[in-house]
Amino acid sequence: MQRLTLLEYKNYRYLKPAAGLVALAVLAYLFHSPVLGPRGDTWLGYTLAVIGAAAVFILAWYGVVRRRIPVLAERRKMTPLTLLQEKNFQERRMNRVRFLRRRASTLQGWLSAHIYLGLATFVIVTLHSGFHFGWNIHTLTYALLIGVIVTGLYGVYAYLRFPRLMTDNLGGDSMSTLLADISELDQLARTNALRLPDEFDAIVQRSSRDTRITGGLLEQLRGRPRLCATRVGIDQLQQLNVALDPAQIQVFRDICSLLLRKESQLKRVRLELMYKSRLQIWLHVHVPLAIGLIAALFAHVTAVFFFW
Amino acid sequence: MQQKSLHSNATDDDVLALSPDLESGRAFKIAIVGSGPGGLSAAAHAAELGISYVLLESEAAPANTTRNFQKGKHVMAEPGSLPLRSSLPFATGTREAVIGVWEQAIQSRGINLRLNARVTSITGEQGSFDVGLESNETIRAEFVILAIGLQGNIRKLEVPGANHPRVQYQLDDPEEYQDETILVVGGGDAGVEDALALKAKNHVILVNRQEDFINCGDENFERIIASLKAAELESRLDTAITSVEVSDSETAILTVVANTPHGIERISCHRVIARLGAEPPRRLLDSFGIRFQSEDAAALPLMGLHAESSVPGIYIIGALGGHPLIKQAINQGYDVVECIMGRALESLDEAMLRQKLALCYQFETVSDGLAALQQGIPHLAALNTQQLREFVLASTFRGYVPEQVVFQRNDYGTDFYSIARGEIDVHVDEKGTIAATLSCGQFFGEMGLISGRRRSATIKAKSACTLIETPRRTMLNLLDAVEELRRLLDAAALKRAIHTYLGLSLAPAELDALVAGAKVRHFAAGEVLFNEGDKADGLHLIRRGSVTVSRMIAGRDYTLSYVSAGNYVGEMALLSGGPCQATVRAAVNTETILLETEHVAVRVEQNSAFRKQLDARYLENMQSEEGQSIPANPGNYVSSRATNLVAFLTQQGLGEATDVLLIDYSKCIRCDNCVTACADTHGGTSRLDREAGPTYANIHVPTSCRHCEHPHCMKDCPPDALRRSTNGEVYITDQCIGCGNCVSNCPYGVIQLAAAQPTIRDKSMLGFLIELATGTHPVTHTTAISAPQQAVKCDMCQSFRDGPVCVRSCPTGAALRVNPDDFLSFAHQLGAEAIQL
Amino acid sequence: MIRCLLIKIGRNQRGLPIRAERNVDGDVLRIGRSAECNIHLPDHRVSLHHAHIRHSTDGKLYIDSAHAELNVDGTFVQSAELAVGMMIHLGPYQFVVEAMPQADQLTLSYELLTSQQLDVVADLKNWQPPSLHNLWFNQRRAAWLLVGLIVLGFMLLPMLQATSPQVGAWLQKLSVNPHQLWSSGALSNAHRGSNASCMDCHNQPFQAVANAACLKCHADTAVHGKHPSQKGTSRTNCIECHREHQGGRAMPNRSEGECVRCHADIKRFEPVSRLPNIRDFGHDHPEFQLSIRTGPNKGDLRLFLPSEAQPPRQDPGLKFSHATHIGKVSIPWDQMTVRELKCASCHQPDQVGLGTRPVNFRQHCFYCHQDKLEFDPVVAGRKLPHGSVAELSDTLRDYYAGLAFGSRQTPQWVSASLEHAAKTLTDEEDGCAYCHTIRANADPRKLFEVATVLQNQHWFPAARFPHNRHVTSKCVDCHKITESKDSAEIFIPDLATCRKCHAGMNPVANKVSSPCMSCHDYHFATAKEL
Repeated sequence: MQRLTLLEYKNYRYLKPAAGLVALAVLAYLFHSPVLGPRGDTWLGYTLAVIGAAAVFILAWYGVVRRRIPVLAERRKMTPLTLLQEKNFQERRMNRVRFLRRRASTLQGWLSAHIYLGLATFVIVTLHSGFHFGWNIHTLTYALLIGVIVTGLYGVYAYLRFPRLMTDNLGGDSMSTLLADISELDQLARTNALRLPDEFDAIVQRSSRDTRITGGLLEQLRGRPRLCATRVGIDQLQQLNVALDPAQIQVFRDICSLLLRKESQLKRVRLELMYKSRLQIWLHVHVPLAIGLIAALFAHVTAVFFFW
Repeated sequence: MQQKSLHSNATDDDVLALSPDLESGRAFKIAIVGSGPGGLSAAAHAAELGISYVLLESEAAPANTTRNFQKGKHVMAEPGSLPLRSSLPFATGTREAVIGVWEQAIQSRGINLRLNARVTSITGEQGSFDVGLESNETIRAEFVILAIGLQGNIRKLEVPGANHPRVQYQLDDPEEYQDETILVVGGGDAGVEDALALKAKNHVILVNRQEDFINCGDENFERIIASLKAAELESRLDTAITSVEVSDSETAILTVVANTPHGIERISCHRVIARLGAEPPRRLLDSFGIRFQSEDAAALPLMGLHAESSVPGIYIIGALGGHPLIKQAINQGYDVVECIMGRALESLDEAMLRQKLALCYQFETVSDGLAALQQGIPHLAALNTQQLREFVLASTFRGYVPEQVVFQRNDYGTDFYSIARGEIDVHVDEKGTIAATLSCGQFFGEMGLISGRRRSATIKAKSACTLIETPRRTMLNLLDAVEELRRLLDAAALKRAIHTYLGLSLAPAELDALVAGAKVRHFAAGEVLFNEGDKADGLHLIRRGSVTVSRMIAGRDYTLSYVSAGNYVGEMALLSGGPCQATVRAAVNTETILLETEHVAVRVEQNSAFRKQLDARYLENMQSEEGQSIPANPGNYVSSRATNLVAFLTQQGLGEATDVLLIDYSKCIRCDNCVTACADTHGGTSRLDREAGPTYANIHVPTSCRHCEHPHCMKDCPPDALRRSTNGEVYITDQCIGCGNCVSNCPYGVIQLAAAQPTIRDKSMLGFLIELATGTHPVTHTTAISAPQQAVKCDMCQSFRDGPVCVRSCPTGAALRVNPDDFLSFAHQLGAEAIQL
Repeated sequence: MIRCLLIKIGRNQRGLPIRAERNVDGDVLRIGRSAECNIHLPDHRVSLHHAHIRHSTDGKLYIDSAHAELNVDGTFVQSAELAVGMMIHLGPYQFVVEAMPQADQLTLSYELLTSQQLDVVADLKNWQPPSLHNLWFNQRRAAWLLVGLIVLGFMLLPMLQATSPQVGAWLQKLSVNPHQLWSSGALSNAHRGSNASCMDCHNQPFQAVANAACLKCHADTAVHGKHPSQKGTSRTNCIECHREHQGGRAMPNRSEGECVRCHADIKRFEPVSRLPNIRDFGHDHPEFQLSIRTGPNKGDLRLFLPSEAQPPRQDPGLKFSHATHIGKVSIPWDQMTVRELKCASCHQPDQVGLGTRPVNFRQHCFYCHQDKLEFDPVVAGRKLPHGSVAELSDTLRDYYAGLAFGSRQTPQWVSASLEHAAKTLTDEEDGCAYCHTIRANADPRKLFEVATVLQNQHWFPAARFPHNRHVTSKCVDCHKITESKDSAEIFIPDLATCRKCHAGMNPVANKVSSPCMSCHDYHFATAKEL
């Protein structure tokens, strides 16, 4: 059973060609010494440019494939008639198409290739630049590419690391069971608080009313709110200095333990959300940057050829 | 036509003899006992024909069973395809309307009806029966038509505590009860209707002994499924009530202890309404001299041609004769009078029967043909005429040329085959060794029927032969109705299991003797078949469900393996006669056939060759067991984790799965690409819910079809839309009517009803890019919004070339499709990984 | 003792009331959240001890609330007498005093009107985590924004600036220059100061900079081969070699090996050309073709072709032996004085250092050969001007005329003297003829005729030999003049000599790799120069 991570996919199937490409590019760069120094407009520069641009489009194509795998899912034709047709003139063409498609048919393979090709593109495009930078569209394009690659690297890290942490955090529970648990603990605490004097009741009700799982995006990414109403409630309860009779003390203790448990459950939910948002947030940078990169690539090529 | 023949045939004497005033002792042509629909119909026809007749009713009003229906009950005219022959009017309507029409008919036709006339004896023979009444009167008649139905003999809930006054067997007016929790027992029409009537103002729990509602009419069926879906009432299927307790005498709350597939449940309720049907008034009929098919209380009377009982001249129609529907009874009433008058009518499906039977038998009348069939195929002997007709109608008669393959080993198929003519060969292995040859009258395919597993052998025609191919649903209904047939099939299955799995070559007679002592045993989920170290009781052939095999190692229970239906456990004990080496527990509700050790021991004494064979086999098994992975170091975390994982997976019903989607949560990035991909490929409805479902040790079991070995969903599909392909995928064809049976039958909640939204997606790149850029489909043709709902479930993307799209669209390779064979190795691998990380 | 029938009203699923009755007895009926209250109302909106019902002294029943809200029939009170039909709101509960079924029994029904308190709890249970996709700044929107920015700012604006004068003017007014964003590097030093706009050179979008743009300023640049405007010529666009935007320095050339592109098979590009094919100096370069002067005029040249059998000769019109002019030499008119002569004594490098200045009589010959300018031993020391024969004749004529005038000699004497002087001067030992070739007189004004001295400065007009780069070697290493007696001999080194040190474009051990441009200059047009 194939149980390898993205990077190890099919025994590093895509690492090898990517590394080869990089090695080739670096060697060519080292041995190529044009009169005016390495630049984008030498023959090597143009070669690297074409490779780099092609790579960028292939990389961007991943986003299409990600959604298009179901769209492209080819209906199985099983009628004898279609089989007959296939056997005849269409067969060869179809076989070729199918061959191409089959090789690229798992998204995992695509992603693995995406990662390695992305890293290779970094080297190739850097060599293409010949280390000439300035405040212009050319360097902007390069900067966008670097942005895309850096966010992508974070993505690889997130993909490899967070799923396990998420599972460790949630265990066998799910988000909804946790929420139900929290809600139940909350309700229990509130019901119990009814048996205590008003000060206690007020604190518990208030902490319960003010409890938010998370607020905005930043809070979600941080994994904890600025102020957890449950925590505040627990602290306030500890500080209250009101005489209670023995039965009430028992209730008070119950409430404290309920709130503590609720807090720990809240932490788990927030942690889950934190991982989840960290798993997703980079894409919200990566994808727009990638789209921007393509636009910039067009502008870059236009600029180069407009003032030829 | 009818009217004409009526007048030409009726003699003047008969017409004159017809008089509303009856004299005691006066002779009639026909005495009709019971004024239900059948009796009324017969009487009405007799009146039309001008035959002298009397209609005897034990109660104070005609048609009591119908009259006792609940108030306002919707009486249905089923089966819809059957035309009404009799002149007694009958159409779908409320109880009151139907009764009203009938009473009007009695009035307008001057039916000779005697109320309060309970028949206590019938003596004499054809031509002169003496019908004795409770009032000591005697009525003489040439023929007797028994149309007494079954309601006189209601089946009771025979469990402790069932005599509580709140355990009742009738429901007159559902409006009487409000805000109560009511347990309705029985999944027949009566139970379903009561439940439906009560649900509006009460909390109703419908308890059904069967796994589905196979005993009720289509209309009721649809209504109850709809109600269950809308959560208007609850149901407990495959559940038997074991006792009724009074939990709180003050509030009069009962606690019903029920044995559900998930274990014992205690249900609190205010009231129990049991609608368990009725049994024939056996003693009374015995006294008439009528013989029955078997000693079984539910057995039907032996019936000859045209509803004639074993006593010539006495005809049995309606529910008593096995035709519980009103329309059938009405038609029978008409038919039987015609028959008495010597005009045999051909029943409506006669032509089809004739055509089918003609393929392999020479006969004149259809009943001759059926008789020939029954004679030729012994296991059909237990069926009554009606069942036989149904059997033939549902089956396909197919001819095979020699060497033609009927089915291949490891195919999925659930049809049951009986050999009407010719011989077939059974090939058990790939090499084509002929394991057995079955000849005319025998059957095969029963393993698929019983266990729902892949075919265990390849069947080839040896000579030109005709096979009767019966759909699984029909066979299951018959098995349910005819205990004898079930026994026969079980015995055959066991015989073949012993033969196939143990590889014992015994003479047929010896094998028969060996199997004769086999017993069917039922185990609830979690119940132990036998414990480690116990004296083994014998070999269990698992007929249904599945078991886990576990062993105590260093004080911990390790699940070693999982054995599913069609396999067997306890063979070692059978071979050695020693104590069991592992604990075997039922994982789900399980049925096994037990071949007891003692029984085998006797055989072994008598046959030394058998002994030798057993020893060889035992040695072989021991060796293969050595090779299996038994945790060498019991304290090892790896194996304990792996074992727990196996236990977990088994708990999730993966044991009975043939292919299941698992998600490795240590790789899953929760992008839900699998879900969107599924929805995209399947008309906008995802057949998989990634988030739902349990998780254990990084393995997540999403809500998605497991393609069970014994698919619960296929159990009851009215249009037979659920199929299993030869590759094992269970899928739903377009024939689905959206009844929701499968939805409620699936224990894993993986089937849903959804309106099909066949969208024509713009597959062109441009359209797709527009979609990417704007987030909307540029060209999406959705058919009418009111598209009917159909059941949808995972079909393993069998209509797509490249396999399940959920797996292909997983960017990190977290989605896996696993089959049970891989579970163990998979689990161990995971355990090892857990250590490393 | 108050006996009270307490009816709790609940609602079933359809909203119909369900009445649950129970009896509550006590001296005082306490109502509140606290468990010990007779009428226990589990809701936090009710106080621990909210109110109590008591007998007043007159035997009537009162409901009192010490410090909590009590709303009786719509008004807030502290205490009220209970009367049938009275409606009391106590927190979320509504109490109604109902008709008493028994005389002394209080009948109270109560119902929880709103169960709002549970809302927050329910909220938590069904709470949905906010989806990142719902953010305003979602992927799609951010991508569109970025694309718009880039397309507008980095593509359309510079484009419009180039193509639309209005936009260009407008941008200029705002003093922004989006073209900066397209620049691939700073202009060279030479061009930077020109204050030119991009369009001054890049005249047409999507077309390479045309020669016309360069020629606007560099009009006098010689063209290579035929004029580029002529059809069928080789690729002679300026930008083929001259790359701009390479940073603030001199504009570099890109010329390595470019010549070979045409010259390897020159006929393909110039069918009429007589030039041989050249690929590389090192192995595929024709023998040098000396350009030999044949006359004093500009066009008096002939190419010495390597195929000629004779060694090349050029009669310079001088009698000169390199051999006698090298090393320690005594001056002819003063045998005692010895001078050390070197090549550089006469061949002095020119200003650029590429070649040598022409040898000059006054600088290089005069000192030693000044005695040859004396024409009359009588007037020793008197020297004739060197250069023009006409001037010399005039000088002599004037001299003798003056002499005759002073001594009253006859014109015959004058002419005889002149004749004598001319004879002396043309004497091979002592006059002009010492160096020069004297020819017969053609012009009556001149006493005699001297052959023009042909000094060849450009042996290889299509190439350039930087002498200054070769200072490490001695002149004689290449120019084998030491044995030369004849001034017509030529000591310009041949190809083999150069190849001793120079390899072609590709590096060779111990040799200098020399691309075409080491010797040849693209713009050095043969025809124009000579």
